[in-house]
Amino acid sequence: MTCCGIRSGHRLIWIGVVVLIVLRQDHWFWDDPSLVAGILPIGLAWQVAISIAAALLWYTATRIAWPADPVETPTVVTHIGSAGEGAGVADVGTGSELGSVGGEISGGETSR
Amino acid sequence: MSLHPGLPQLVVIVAYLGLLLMLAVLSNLRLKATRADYQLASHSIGPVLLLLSLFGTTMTGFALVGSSGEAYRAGIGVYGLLASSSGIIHSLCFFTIGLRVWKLAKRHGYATQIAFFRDRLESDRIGLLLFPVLVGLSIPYVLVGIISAGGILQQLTAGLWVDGPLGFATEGPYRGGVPSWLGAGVVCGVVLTYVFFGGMRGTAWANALQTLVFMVLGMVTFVIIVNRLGGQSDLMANMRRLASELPATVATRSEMARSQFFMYLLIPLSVGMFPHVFQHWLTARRASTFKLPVVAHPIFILIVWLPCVLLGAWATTPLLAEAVQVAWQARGFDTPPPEIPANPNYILPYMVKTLTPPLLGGFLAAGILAAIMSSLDSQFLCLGTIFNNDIVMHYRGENRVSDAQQVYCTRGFVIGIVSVCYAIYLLTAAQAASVFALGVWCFSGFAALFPIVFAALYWRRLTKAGAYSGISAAITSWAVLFYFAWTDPEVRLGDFQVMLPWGEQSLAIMPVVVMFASSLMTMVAVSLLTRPPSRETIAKFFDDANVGGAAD
Repeated sequence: MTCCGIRSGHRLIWIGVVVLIVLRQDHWFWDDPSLVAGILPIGLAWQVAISIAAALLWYTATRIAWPADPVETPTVVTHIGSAGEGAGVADVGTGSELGSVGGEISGGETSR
Repeated sequence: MSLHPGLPQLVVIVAYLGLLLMLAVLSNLRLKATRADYQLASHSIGPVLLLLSLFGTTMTGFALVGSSGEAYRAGIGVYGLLASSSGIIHSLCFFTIGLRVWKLAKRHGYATQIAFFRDRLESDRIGLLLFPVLVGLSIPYVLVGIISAGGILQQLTAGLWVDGPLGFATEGPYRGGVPSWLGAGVVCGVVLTYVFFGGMRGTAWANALQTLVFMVLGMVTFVIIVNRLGGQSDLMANMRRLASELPATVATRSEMARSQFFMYLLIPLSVGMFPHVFQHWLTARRASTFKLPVVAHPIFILIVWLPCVLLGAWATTPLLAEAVQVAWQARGFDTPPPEIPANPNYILPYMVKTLTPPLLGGFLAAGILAAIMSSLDSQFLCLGTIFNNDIVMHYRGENRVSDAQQVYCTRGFVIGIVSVCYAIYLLTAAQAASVFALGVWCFSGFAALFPIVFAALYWRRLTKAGAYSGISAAITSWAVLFYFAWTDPEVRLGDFQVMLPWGEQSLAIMPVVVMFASSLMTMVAVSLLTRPPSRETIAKFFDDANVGGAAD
């Protein structure tokens, strides 16, 4: 999927989300006590259909709007940094930035 | 000591708790001696385990006990209030927030929300504001689990030891059952133990096991109870009979305000700011690992919520009292069956206890406890992690705290938080609070923080001051509204609304709307009035090369 393809895919998914939100409000079966197949009140059956439609929408998202996996660059350190405004969590960089760091280097001993 | 069928239930529950402890020991053997493994399972979790652990984490006592209780009280509309909306919104959060956060965390090494916000907002002190807010909002969430666990254990073992000490003999409908203070305490103790032993890997395994347990046993519960309630020859005939007896007010949303139904849509946004869900996101092996959770989450919610809502709704029919009477006599008891509980929290355990065989009832109780514990464990682990990483290590310096000190501090803090929750449970009116209402208040607070995380990921103009003011507005409005709701003797906690003048009438607004709007508006206004973030930060968080091409 190209960048533009993903963008248009995103647009479609957002439209789908808005449509589902509108349909979920379900003004039309609000006071209707009739049953679907003699079992489910129709208002509940409608909401069940919304759940299934949501799963289908998100399946579509994985097909048309899913970003590519980033190049696997190992995280080097879960560095905590030290206090001080602006210190924050140090940017720990990646294997590619730091050269040939193979595999994951742990961020210290376990807290077991 | 007189024994009661409550004994088989207790034996099964104790065996299940023992199984969880064994799982913790096993996962401890696989635990690598690194902090990354303890806190994030070395980013090694695959799609199935991520789906099960994320789902187990988001489904609490709220989903089983709360949903059935609320359906019993207010009808089938409760499914639309939170289940179908969560199917849309939770997956939306996984897709737009989780995936992007995972990529940034993978690249820059964040292990907690606070670490991410410190870097994005170029502010070290944001942790001092966010830490108490996240911990404070987690307290009602933990309370939901404690209330549910204590109540279920007591109810399902009622009659076990009617002349026992320590509260067993307390008069009431659940006399002889394991006292709620003891049941809740034991459940907390078991969860704490397996979290301390197994870390994130153990928690993910336990969550997966517990999710499977409560989903499978939930369906078994549904079939058995429906067959007992309907009294007909087969499942479909029973369901048709029960449906035909439903009062119109329960089978529709006629008693529910349309505006309130719409406003509930904001509640599931809370998942975007749950610290424990954030931590689970970071365990994913790769971006594509998110696909299965994103797609299957709405269906899993359907599988859990629909039976609970139907059971709660059908419990309003006269068939419940008849079925309980028949089942009670069939078991050979000459005493009248227990009365239908007034507290909606207890309607599901009541049906399990009175309508299912004792041994199976024990398994079903274990299933309900599984749902509760699969959230408590992630909350405990997460609270410990943010305390260790964002407070102890960050402010004392990584090299100045030994491993042993980290262990003591982290465990001490988690035990302290659980003790505070437990004390609130014992000493206040929280025991009587509706699980559903308490859950909604907790989720409302986290939902009010959603604009902050969304803006941090998608709005370049978000500034440090904007985030500070947004978080402050969210938590201030939450605290003020919760105080009014808690102290108002005339309104149930879950029914509290803010009344805005609207012409000659008043417009009822849910608290979450007020909190969300105040957070959003304050954040945007202050951000626009203050200096934008540095170019380096913008490049780091919004350049596609740095974010790995995540969704914009």
